[in-house]
Parts: sequence; structure tokens; C-alpha cells
Amino acid sequence: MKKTLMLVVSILVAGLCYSQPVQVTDVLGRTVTLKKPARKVLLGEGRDIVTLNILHPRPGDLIAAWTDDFKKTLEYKHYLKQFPELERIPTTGSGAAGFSAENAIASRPDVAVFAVKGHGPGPEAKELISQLQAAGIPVVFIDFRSSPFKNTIPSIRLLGSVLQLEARAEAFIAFYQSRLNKITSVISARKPATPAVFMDMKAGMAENEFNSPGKDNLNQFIQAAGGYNIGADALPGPVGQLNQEFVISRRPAIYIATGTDIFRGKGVVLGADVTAEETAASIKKRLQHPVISTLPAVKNKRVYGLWHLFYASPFNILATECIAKWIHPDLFADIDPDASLRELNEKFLSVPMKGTYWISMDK
Amino acid sequence: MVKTLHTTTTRDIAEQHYRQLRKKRLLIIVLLAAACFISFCFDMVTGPSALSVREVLAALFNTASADDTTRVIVWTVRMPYAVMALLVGMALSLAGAEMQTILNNPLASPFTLGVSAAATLGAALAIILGISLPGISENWIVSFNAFLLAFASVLLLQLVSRLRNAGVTILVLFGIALVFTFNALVALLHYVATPEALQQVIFWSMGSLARANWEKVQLLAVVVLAVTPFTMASCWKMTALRLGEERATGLGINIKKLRFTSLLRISLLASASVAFVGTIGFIGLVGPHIARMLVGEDHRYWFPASMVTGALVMSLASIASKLLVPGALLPVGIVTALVGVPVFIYLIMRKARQTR
Repeated sequence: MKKTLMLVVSILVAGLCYSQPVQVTDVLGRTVTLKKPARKVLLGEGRDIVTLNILHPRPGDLIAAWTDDFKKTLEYKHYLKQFPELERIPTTGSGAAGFSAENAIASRPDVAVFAVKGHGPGPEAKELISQLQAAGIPVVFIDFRSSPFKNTIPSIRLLGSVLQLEARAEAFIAFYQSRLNKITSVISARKPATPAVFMDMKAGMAENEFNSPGKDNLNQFIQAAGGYNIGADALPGPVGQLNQEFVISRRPAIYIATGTDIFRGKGVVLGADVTAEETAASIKKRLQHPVISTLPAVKNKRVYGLWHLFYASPFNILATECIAKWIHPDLFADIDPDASLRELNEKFLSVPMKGTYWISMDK
Repeated sequence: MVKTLHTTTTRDIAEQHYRQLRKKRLLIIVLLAAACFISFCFDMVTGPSALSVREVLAALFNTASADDTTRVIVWTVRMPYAVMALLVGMALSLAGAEMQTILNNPLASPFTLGVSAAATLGAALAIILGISLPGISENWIVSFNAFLLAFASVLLLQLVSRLRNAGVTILVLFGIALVFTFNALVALLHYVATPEALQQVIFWSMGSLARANWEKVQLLAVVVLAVTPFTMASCWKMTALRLGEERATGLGINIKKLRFTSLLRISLLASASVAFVGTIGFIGLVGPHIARMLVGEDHRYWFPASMVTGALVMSLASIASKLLVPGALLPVGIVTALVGVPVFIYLIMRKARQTR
């Protein structure tokens, strides 16, 4: 009897909590109120299913509708294997330009989660936002891209509050924060020299094009890791193309190629289901370029590969650990990105990251 | 007696005028060519690394003495860019001059009938879907696809105009229809592309000299060298065509054949350029215009003048793109317009003053 009463009370309390309005502040500083905690979200970038996986073992259950960018990746196949029902989630089109407000509203999400910057609708999609709000769907903004190290934690915390999955969110934040603190405290205490880094973004996708981060995004990864990105001197935006001669003249000491599986056959390949052998072979091919082969980094075998899509991912901390270790092997001997990945997979991700996400070719 | 003397003098004066005009036109072409050479030299000594002129010269003429880095900068980076700039300028400007003549339209450019749109579709197919003919090496599929589709689009155009026995207007309208079709297909590909591949396509379509390497330079040089003699051989017919189709036919010129062979040349020049460096607009429109203002529309002078003008504008654009944003690669298509427009406007204003 007593037990039953307890149960009834706890269900009532839970129900009461559940129907309480939730007030959150998103990364743009907007205060947003949800009438009740969200059960289903609309994803402005489908790739954020991976972020939802941090918070929930069945992330697809949290998605009312999404854009189709994630469906074009190999990771999607992993997700689909475990959750065939993902195929039935309605899509709202491709990217910001093809976004269907009607599909979005018809999917009846409790909240729309958009990225501040990215390939989906952003803060500039004012009409869409007001249409959603008129339909009673509040919009919150998260960000892993324009200010990755400032906004990743608030973004995860925001999703935790909106979905009432705070415990998992805080566990991930602890995982993330401890690792970030370690790097920033060592860098600020020891103030090491910052060697020149050439990050060959989407390396080899076009033979003679040298894409590099400019002043934003991946530049912040390199800075946080105690390096100096040569592209920051020449490129005003987050990404641009460098003059090959400029790259040679800066004599980079570290060479990091980024790639994904879509560059298979052309450029550097990393990501889900990719073997280390394939990655190494693709990087070796890139190193044969006459300009790259003359770089001091290549002559001294300071050559590394990184999965390109870390640039807009809550797992940016893993990439930063790698870069820090590559740039300052002596300062960060105790950092182990492989162990971090194992912990991430075991503790948080029901669909683990399996493949080659980084490689060190300095041996 | 007095009468004869008088007529001889008039005739003499006319002939002298003509000789002077010829001399003046030749001189202008020679001066333009000299300017091209100077611009090329400047192009070779400008760059984001602080190589001195002496180091560059040493690397050029005493290659063995230069260190690896300098050699790579001079021979693998600067030289192919600089030569490619000249070649692309020549090819596009010549193709533009021919197009303006056969379409009898000063607003025409090599890309008017859809060559660049077709090339972009070919490149996008390669970048987004990885589609190409078998047996093409990975490094070449983008260029190859771009060339294939660009060239095929012109053949298609040709076929339709033959079947329907169509005149210039139909040709232009059909070309415009092709432009819209290809643009729509490219947009469709954008729709299915991943964001990363999409960014690559956009970079490609902006045009960049950085894609140059020695193999591409050689191929384009072969195309320009092979096409130019045929162009020059058609000069008289082209000049006659400018008098009007009927008069040209009256002079015994087979206009259909002239137009077909000219379109073939245009498509070879434009397709090869666009395949190697992407879409670089403006040169093909403005190169011929500047040349026309300088030497008039006698094709014997106008064609070569168009080539050197185009080469000069591209070469200046190449220098400007290095100086404007040191270290970064500003898509050269943006720069060609920024460099060419002031020159163009100056010439128009001057001409307006003269004719007033």
C-alpha cells in the first residue's frame, strides 16, 4: 500500500515537473521559454544526431524532423544499422536554401535546434524563425563551430535542460571540461613557443588547391593547442585558399591534413569505417605534391591527419587533444586521445565512433 | 597634266594614310606585346615569400645553384601561374573576338552560348558524384569532365543549328536555353552534395590560376598554337562578314562553314581554358573591346591585338591578386574584373570624348 502510494506520488511529481515550463538562454543570449520540456526536436543540421547521442542512447527517438546532410555520410550507415527507423524521420530538405518550413511545422517538434553557423538555417533565417514561433515552436541556437571552445559546453547544457536530460549533459561536460582545462592550463603556465602549423584542409581534394583555416574555427583549435596557424595571417574568414608560395615561405614545422570519406580516391581519407592503412596511403599520396614535399614539416616527418568534420562537432576536444600532442609532444606526453575516444564511446555513445579519426605519421 | 598630278597626289595621300595606319596598328600590337612581357616579368618577381629579384634570376638561369625551396617557388609555383595567365588571357580573348564577329554582337563572349555553364556541370559531376569516363586519372577527371561537357555543348548547338538551318538569333536563343539548363542541373547537383563537396564546387567555379601546372600549361599552349593559324587564315572572311551576311555571301563566302569552323575554334579555346582554371569571365568580353578601340576592327590586326590585350589583362590580374591579399588566393575571376573595368571605362570615356 505504502509502496503504491509512493509510486503514485512520484509519478505525479514527475508529471508535474515534466509539465513545468522550461526557461533557457541559448548561445546567442536569447531567452527562450518552452511550455514544457521537449520530447522531440527539429534539427537544423542533421549531423547533430551525434550530439543527441551524448544525451540519449536512442537519439532518433528525440528527433521530429531533420535536414538530410547527415544522411549523406558514412556515419549514417552506422546509425541506420542500429536504428532502422531513422529512415522514417521526415526530412526538411537540404541545407538552409532548401529548408521546408511546412515539413518542419508538420513534424510537430517541441523545439527547433539550429546552429549559429553552419549548413542549416541560422539566425539570419528570420522568416523561418517567425513562422516556427507562430506555430508554437520555439527556436534555440547551439554552436560548435564559430566559437567552439566557448560554446560547446553551453550548447550541451542547453540541450540537457531543454530535453530534461541534465545528468547525461553534465557528465559529458565534466569529460569535456577536464580535458580542455588540462590543455589550457599547461599552455598558459608554460607559455611554449608556438610553431608554425599548416593545416591542409580537405587535403588533395583538388590537387593544386591549398585550403586552410583562416582566423576562425579550426584556427581556434590550433591556437588552443599552442600552435600558430599560418593561414591566420592571410585569410580573413574561417576558411580560404592559400597561395602555394606563401605556404612554402612560412616554413611550417607541423603539417596536418584533414579529410573525410567523401574524398576517397582523390584526397586524404579519414572517418567512419576508414582503416589506418587507407588513411596513411592517402596522406602519402598527398605528400608527393612538389610544394608539400619541400616543407620542413614533411622533411622532418611532422605529418599528421585529422578527420575534417571535427570542425563542427561537440567532440572538438578530441581533435584539440591530438593537435596539442602533435605540436608539443613533450608537454602533453600524458594526454591520450585514443583513451579519450574509448571513454567517449563507452560512456556516452550508443553508436560508437569506429574508424580512423586521426593518424600520426611522425614515426 | 594638272589633273593627273592632282589624282596621283590624292591616291598617294590615301596610300600613305593606309601605310601609316598599318604601321600604327602594328606598333600598338608590338607595344602591347612588350607590355605583356614586362607584366610577365613582374609576375615572376612578385609573391608572398620575400625572394629577391636576384634569387629569382639565379633560380631561373642557374637552376642547379638554387636551393630546393627557391627552385620550387620559381619553377613549380610562380612560372606555371604566370604563363597560364598569359595563355588563358590569349585564349579567352581570341575566342571572344571570334564569337563577337560570328554572332555579330559586341555583347557576346566565349561563354555566351553556355560553354562555362557546361564546364561547371562537368566539374560538379566529377566533384560531387565522382562521375567521369573510365581510364581518366583522378587528378584529371575534373578538367577532363569540364572540357568534355563544354565541347559537347557546342557540338550540340552546332547540330541543332544545322538541322533547323537556323540563323544567328536561333543560335543565340538556343545557347541561352543551354545556359539555363546547365545551371539548373548544377543547382540540382548542389542539392544532393555534401556541404564539403559543395564548397569545393563553388571554389572551382570561381576560377583560379592556382590550378596551373606544367602539363596543363603545355596542353593549353598546344591548343592556342594549333587554333591561331586557322583563325588568322579566316581574317578576310571575318572582316567581310562584318559587312553583313548578304554582302559576305555575295563575295563568295560560305557563311555556314565559316560560322561552324569558328565555333569549333571558340569551343576548343574556351573549353580548354575553363577546364584548367575554371570560369574566368570578363576577359573574353572586354579583351576584344579594348583591342577594337585600339586598332579598329580589321581582323588582321584585331585578332592578334585581342590576344595580347587579353594576355596583358590576365597577367596584370595575376599580379594584382598576389598584391591585394598577400598569401591568400583571391579567385582570379574577381580580380580580372577589378583590374579590367577601370581600363575599360577609361577607354570608353576617351572614345566618347573623341566622337562628341
